[in-house]
Amino acid sequence: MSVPSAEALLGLLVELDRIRALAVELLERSAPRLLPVPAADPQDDARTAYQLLVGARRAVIGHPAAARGLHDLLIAEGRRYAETAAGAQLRDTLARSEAVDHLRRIWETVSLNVLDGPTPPSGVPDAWAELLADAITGRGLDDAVLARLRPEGFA
Amino acid sequence: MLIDPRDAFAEQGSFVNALVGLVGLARMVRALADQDGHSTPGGGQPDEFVHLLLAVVSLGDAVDRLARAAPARAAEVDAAQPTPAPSTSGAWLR
Repeated sequence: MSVPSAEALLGLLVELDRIRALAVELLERSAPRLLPVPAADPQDDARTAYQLLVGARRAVIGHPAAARGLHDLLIAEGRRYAETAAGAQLRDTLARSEAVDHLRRIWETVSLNVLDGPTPPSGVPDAWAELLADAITGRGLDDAVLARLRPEGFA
Repeated sequence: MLIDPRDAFAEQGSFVNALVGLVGLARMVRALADQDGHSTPGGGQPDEFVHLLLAVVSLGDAVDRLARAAPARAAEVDAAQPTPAPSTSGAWLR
């Protein structure tokens, strides 16, 4: 069996990435709740915030394995910093802060908590798959499709 | 003509922009921590989100140290500019 050239492999990766981006875009259209509609006539600040938050959500949902990897690296760095005197003091202050509570709620709303919980060796968090399953089934599966798969007389 | 590639890179380098953004985020986290009188009653346990914020501060401080440790030439350049713009990527890279 011949080995593909480096150029061919690179082209394959580019094409896979293009397919991935298209799949995410289609997914957002299929599950509109993942892509909220902006306000009809938003103020400039609101539009900027909307674009920032939607961009963050797309980065997380469109690249779950990479986002989880970065998430884990950052938490490890945060724990390392918390072992220093300055880091420990800042950690305790942040943990008590009401402003951090607000920021946490924003982050959880944007990321939909898909980076939490266990992750199989593939690197894609289980919570990500569960979220997408919920988003699709929550919209309502087309039962006509399932009916064709169900043997006659099968409940 | 490209006379000083560092200057050209400084204006175009998205990597440097990312570093500047990291420092900005670190300052934002410190500002959150500095808000007196807005603490959660009873205090909270440091969770993963708090450690994420700590990582941002740690990395932002590291970038800040890099900028402060720049060669003496950078100080001369800054001294020549009466109103330096430390928030721009160009100033940071130089």
